[in-house]
Amino acid sequence: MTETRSERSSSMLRKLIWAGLLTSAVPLIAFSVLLIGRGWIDGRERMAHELETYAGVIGLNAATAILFDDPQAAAETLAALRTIPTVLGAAIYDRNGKLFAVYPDAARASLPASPPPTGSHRFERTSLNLTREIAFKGETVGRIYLRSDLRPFYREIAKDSGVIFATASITSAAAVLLMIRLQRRIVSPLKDLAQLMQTVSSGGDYSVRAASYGRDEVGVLAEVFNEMLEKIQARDLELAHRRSNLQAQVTRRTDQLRHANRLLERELEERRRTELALHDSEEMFRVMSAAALDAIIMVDREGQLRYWNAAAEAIFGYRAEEVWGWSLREFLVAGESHERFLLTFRHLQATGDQALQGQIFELEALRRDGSIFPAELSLSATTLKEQWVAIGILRDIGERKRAEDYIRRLNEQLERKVRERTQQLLNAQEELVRKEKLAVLGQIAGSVAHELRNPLAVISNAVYFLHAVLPESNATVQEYLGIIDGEVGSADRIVGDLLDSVRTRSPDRLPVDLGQLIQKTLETCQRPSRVEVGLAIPADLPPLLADPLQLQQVLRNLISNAYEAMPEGGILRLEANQDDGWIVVAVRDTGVGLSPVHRDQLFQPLFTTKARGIGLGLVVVKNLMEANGGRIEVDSQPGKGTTFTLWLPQLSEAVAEEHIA
Amino acid sequence: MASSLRALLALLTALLSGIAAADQTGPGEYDVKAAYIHHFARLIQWPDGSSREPLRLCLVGGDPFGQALDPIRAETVDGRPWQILPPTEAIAWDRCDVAFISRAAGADLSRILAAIGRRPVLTIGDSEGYGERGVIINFFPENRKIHFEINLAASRRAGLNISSQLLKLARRLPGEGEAR
Repeated sequence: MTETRSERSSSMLRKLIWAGLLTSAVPLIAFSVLLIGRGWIDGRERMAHELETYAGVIGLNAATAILFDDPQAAAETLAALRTIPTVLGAAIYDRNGKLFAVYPDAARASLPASPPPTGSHRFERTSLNLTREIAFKGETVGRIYLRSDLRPFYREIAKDSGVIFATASITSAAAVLLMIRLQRRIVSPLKDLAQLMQTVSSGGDYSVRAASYGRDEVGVLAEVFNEMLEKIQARDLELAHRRSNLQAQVTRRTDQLRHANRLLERELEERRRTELALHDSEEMFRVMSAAALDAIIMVDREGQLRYWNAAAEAIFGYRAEEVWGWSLREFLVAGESHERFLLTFRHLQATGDQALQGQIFELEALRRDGSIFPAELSLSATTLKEQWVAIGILRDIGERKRAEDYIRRLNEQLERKVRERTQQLLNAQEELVRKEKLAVLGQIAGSVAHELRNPLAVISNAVYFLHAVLPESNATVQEYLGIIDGEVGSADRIVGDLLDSVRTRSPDRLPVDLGQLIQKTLETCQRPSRVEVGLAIPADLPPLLADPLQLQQVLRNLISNAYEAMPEGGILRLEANQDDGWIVVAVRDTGVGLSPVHRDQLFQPLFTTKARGIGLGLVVVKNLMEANGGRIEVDSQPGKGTTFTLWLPQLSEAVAEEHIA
Repeated sequence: MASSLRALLALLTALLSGIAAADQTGPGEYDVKAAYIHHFARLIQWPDGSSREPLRLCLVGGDPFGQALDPIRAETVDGRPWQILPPTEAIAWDRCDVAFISRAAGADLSRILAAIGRRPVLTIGDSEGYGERGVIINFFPENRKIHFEINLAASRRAGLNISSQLLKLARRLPGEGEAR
């Protein structure tokens, strides 16, 4: 430490010496260089100028020698250069550039054979060369070339430089010596002062004082330093005093702070926990709200939207930031349910009626793309940040509605199908029963009919005989004979029916004019006097294809049934129509009608409502209709009458032509 | 006899030099002499009052130059153009500044010089002995080159001032003794 500081002060001395040396040496060197440079430049200029002068003088004197072609005279003129020792050689060339004369003779070989280009002088390494024109009365008659030695000039310059640098060096050395002596005087008090400062700073002893060095800058410095030391000493004392006070204060404050800190830490911990809980619940709410499939909407007292979750975005197609502040009614389709909802909402706003909470509205809502969907909205009111808000949960129930509809439709279809199947099964069962009955009946009927036909024939023959032998018997006999004959006929018909019912002959189908056939049939049936018959057969009704005899039998059966159904009289109407390839014939009576139960059993064998009859007539009718490719239906109302409707195939044109042909 | 022999010699010399000149294919003897005459005029100062224009060259006793004088016809001396007066013209000496006296006029030389008298006329000859006889500048051959001699006494008589440069180049100065 000590060494370093003293070194520093000695280095300061060195710096001062260097500064002095440099300040004196730099101008000296610059001046020397300037002098030498100046000598160099001036010397060269002088030499060039001198050589020019020689060339001019010699040229002037040699001009006439060239004019009169006298090299000897020219050489003599050149010889005058002997007096100038620096001229190494000279040459004169004539007008044509031919070497005319040289100096000295020995240098002839070293001189150029033809003149170098004229112009200013050229400095070469050791020589200065010059070529000039020789003029005579303004006319160029030749050229002169001079070569001068530069080496003496160089020697002179070197000598001058030596002298100049020696002088400069000696001057500098003297200056350094002088400076060392002078600067010691400045530096040594500084050194002493530095030593003192070091003592103070390393020992911490502020009681020492610097000696006085007079009134120069160093003296002032020492004085200021002393003052500073005094102030430091005073301050140290004060500081020591204050420090002891401060210590107590600090201890007190530290205790207070520590206590406050503990309180704060507890509070912070509390708050952190609350925040964490809050954060968790917030997070939970956010997750729930985002994950919810129902739109969760919050509306403020003014009915403006304040919250709109992800599901709401998905359902309505608006992003939350777009709808911020919109009214909820923007999304609802005007209508009765809408009005009801608005009324409720206003009521809720006004009263906060708890009864309304949780009520579910079915509404029609509007998406961004304008499509309408059914929705379910439930409302509840609450308070958020001391503001009244309504929370709405809205669910798109379009899907549910569609599903419900679909299920309902499916059920209906199923029920219908079940009914149809049941009907089919019932029908099939009935058919089966009928067929079975028919089969049994067939066997019985076959033998019974066969057995009955013979006695009936015998009775008929006997009646015929009695008619023949008793032509003029009394009325009573005649009457009874008539009764027998009639009854035998009906018995025979019954037998025939019975046989027909079990053995339907295969039809011989021909084109049939229905109108004629009906007329003919009506004639064969005896019309009760109280029954009126109405016909509605269109004249242009096309012919139909059927076995005429079988069709007649069908009609006859139906007509006699109708007559029998109207014991109190009534109207029988026969109507015919065309319907999509069918001829539809309706046989309508205004008779007693049938109960639904009877109607269903109508075509069952052995079913009859008549006092007389074995219940085969309609069986035969049905069988015949089916054999002829048609069908029969019945419609009846008890007390109103019965209508049998027949469908028979219309004669197609192809078939008609075939038959006509 | 001696003079005729000398004339013969001169003729031979002239012929030889002519041949030499021809051999060199450079300028001929009279081309050089014409050029020299022009240079003489430039180096000689005529007395005041005689500087009239143009500078007249009178050919006396014959024209040995032929075409050789053509180049100097275009030249001027101190602004004075040359005017060549052929030998056929009657000579009026006052009009001549330069008089070239040919060899053919050799017999009449004394009479001619007497006629010129002290007039400022530069007399030029090219025959041996003309210098001694009073012609101011006389050409003579030496080492196959053309040299000239100057008779200073004659020039002084004519009042002509000859440049020292020219004098320096003159090989011989005949009549110097006579002048002294």
